[in-house]
Amino acid sequence: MTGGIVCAWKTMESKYSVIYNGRYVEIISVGRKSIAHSRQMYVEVQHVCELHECFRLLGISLSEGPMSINDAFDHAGLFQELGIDSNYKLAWVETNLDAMEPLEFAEDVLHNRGLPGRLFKTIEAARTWLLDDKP
Amino acid sequence: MAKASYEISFNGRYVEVISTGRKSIDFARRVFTAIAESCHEHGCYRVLGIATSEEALPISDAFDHADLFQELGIDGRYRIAWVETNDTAKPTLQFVEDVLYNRGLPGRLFGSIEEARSWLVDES
Repeated sequence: MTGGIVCAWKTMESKYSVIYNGRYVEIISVGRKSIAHSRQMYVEVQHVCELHECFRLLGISLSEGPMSINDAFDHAGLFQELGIDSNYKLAWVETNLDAMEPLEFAEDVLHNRGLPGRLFKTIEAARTWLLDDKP
Repeated sequence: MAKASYEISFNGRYVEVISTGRKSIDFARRVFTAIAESCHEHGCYRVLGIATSEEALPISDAFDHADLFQELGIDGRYRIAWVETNDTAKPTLQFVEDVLYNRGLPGRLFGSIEEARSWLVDES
């Protein structure tokens, strides 16, 4: 991949990698999710985006169980704090269907605040939307 | 836990891999190393995998498959069709398929052997 592994983080509970591939920033994230995991990850994401001046993000996730509703809600505040705003285009694919409900809630909260983040059922749909120039 | 095992054969049209038991990234490394060797030996890069996993691959191991493929040189030359007969193991493999797809690496998951074989031998 063009950017190589720019950063990766591993704990006993979760792992992620953030890679710029020349067209968008790919995030792969697995394990038990929390706002702490997201904070660590999105700080790196923002850094990689600014480094490559690319604000298109594709997340591919396999969560080990659903995130708490409180943590899902806190993503809007996290995005605002990190300056992840409408300049970004974020497509997210979650493979674990049991983890979808809090993510749908997070998507609604982000949408209501004009923040990026759209959930997709398939990677094809996510990538098509992400690379489309329409907002 | 049943120890994972596999068998590889070449039938003249594709390399077939049958695997069973408890899967891990270490097991995947052994299997895909053997697959790559068989593909090179026969000059055939079409692979049909039929797996009966005892349980889902650990999430952490699923994360590492794309890097494993890249390390072993399993790239766009290959056409890999995979069938998992254990439904509980499928979501993790779906994630692996998504990551491979996103990186332009081969590996497609199918619901049945017939469907996988048909896609694999299709020339289009």
